[in-house]
Amino acid sequence: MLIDSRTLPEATRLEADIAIVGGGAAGIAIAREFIGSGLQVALLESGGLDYDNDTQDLYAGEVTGNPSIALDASRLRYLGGTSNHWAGYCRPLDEVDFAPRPWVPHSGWPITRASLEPYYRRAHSVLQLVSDDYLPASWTEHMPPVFASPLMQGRLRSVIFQQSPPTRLGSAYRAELEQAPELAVYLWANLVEIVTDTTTAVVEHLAMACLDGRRFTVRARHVVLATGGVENARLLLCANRQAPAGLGNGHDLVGRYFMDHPASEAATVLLNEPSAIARAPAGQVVDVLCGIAPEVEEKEGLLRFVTSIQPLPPPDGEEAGYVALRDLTRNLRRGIWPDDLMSRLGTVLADLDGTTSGVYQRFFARPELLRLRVHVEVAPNPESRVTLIDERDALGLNRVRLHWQLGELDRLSLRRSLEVVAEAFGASNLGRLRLADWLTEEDFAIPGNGSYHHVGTTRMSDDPRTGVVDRSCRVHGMHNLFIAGSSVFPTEGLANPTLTIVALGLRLADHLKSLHV
Amino acid sequence: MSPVARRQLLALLAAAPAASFGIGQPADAATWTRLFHDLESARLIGRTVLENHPDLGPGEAIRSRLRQRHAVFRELLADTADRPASAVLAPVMAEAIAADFAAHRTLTVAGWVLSRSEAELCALVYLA
Ligand SMILES: Cc1cc2nc3c(=O)[nH]c(=O)nc-3n(C[C@H](O)[C@H](O)[C@H](O)COP(=O)(O)OP(=O)(O)OC[C@H]3O[C@@H](n4cnc5c(N)ncnc54)[C@H](O)[C@@H]3O)c2cc1C
Repeated sequence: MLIDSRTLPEATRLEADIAIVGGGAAGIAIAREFIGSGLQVALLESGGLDYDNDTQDLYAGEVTGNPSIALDASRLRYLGGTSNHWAGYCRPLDEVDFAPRPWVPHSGWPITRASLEPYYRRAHSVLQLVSDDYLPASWTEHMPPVFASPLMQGRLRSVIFQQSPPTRLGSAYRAELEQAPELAVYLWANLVEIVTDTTTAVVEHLAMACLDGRRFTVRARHVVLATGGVENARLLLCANRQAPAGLGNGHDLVGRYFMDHPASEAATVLLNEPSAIARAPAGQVVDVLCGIAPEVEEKEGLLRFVTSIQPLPPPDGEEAGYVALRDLTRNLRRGIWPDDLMSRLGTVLADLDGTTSGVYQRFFARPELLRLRVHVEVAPNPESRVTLIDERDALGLNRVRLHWQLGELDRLSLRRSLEVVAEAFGASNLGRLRLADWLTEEDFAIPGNGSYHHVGTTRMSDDPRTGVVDRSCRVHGMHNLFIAGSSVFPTEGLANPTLTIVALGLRLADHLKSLHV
Repeated sequence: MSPVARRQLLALLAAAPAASFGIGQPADAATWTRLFHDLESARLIGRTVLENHPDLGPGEAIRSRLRQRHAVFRELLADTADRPASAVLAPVMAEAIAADFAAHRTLTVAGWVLSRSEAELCALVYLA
């Protein structure tokens, strides 16, 4: 059943077995699990069935530190949540992502990849993925030849990503949400306060508000916060009437350890000779990127890393600068096109004298020049954090500042990972790699907007001193408050988060069912 | 290699002080040609190598490091020894460079991740 909360009588008190706050990827995946369970579930969604400016404005906030897109652009606030514009790249986290890695401070999950396996399988079907096979060997005929080449059998690896249609969970599962007798989906329903009893260990009720001023409450035996990686922390921090530091924040961890995946063009590779190695085969059905072999990551103390390897696109036009440069170079070489790598390097290096790199990129916009766009893990960093600021939104909640701070390990690891790629191309005598200019600066920021993945702000740990939620995703010190979403990930790995968000959500649903038998 | 480029190369070598080249005779130009195809490019790279890594040291230090690192350079850069025939040099060089990459012996030059040996050879060409 879909209910417009603005039509509820003022001060309505709703009751449910389980209240799920947030009707995005996590919230919808969890809610569906209760169809046929006999338990009454209230799914409380801030927005309606479509984009709405005033609702979206509730998401506005500040961003500082490493470049990151505005908070009201990286998320969507209506049924389906950010899945309404996600791209659909999916991959489970790897076993190594769950293990503590001595070279990555604060790494290690309290659960294993194996324990998530059955949920990953089910999550594939929720996200309408046609395959859960991530073995490169299964896909060699469907990948650009470079990924099937011996280059990927030494220190580099092909890394497979599956592609969701991409599933927009709000519309894909709307009929189910409408029809299931156990589910009541309240639209235009904003959680404005998590109200606890005096011990602050039990959620007593949820204070809800609509933008038109209507207020109501929801009381449930168990409450799941599924409002996304930034908002989960915000709502805990805003619940500061009874617990001044916010709920679950006895150890000042809520909002900290924020992570995204920096994604940026980071290098070009000049091949020794024109080659078909990077061209996409017809009918490519999986996405494949280049990663580093796990034993190299361990030996060299690297964070997880992947990069695309694609031909630079052809020039879109012949600008004056490009033509001048081409003629100049042709004259310099008296009509002889450089016939080997060193000549080409020389030409590119000549660029140092002032010709813009954009012009050069066009100059070399040929199939034998490859572009590398990286997508990398960052280490958990307590200084990367979501905090409340004084400014408030239309419902009176403090807005947030998201500060994303790269650390030394993040920079060293990215540079070194690219060097490993460079060494592999060089050792195979395929070509040479050039790092983007920004990578040669000492304290570089990683350009771009991040990947819109909001990870880590309510991290999972068995120990309340090092985590906000326990292995069941229950907030430490609270009996009936659970968290769903990438905010519970202690580390982010190299995979995009949504498949794991859904898998953890299905696992949480099973756990909640077990509490109700 | 086209005749024009070869003429350029020979001219360049003739102008270079032979002794400091460590190779000396114009006859050896063929050897360098096999290595670089385009000496002007190698010089450019060599200049940038030394600008980016001034600590690489004088030519003699570079030569001695190269000789120690790979047998091919011991012969190539020897002051008196018989030098290898040009025809066999290119693949051996390629092997040496590949070995550098495999052993993480690289230098970043204007963003390019080069093998130490190729970077140092270019530096020698520039210093010549
Ligand atoms: C452009 C873009 C591309 C992406 N591509 C990928 C990709 O290829 N692969 C991938 O894995 N991930 C991708 N992502 C990330 C992906 O969209 C998120 O990981 C996923 O949507 C998170 O699910 P969630 O349920 O935790 O949060 P959301 O989907 O954001 O859902 C949160 C829900 O909570 C609601 N809400 C918020 N506050 C309140 C409140 N106070 N009261 C009630 N309800 C509230 C919101 O309206 C929303 O519906 C992409 C993101 C973007 C922006």
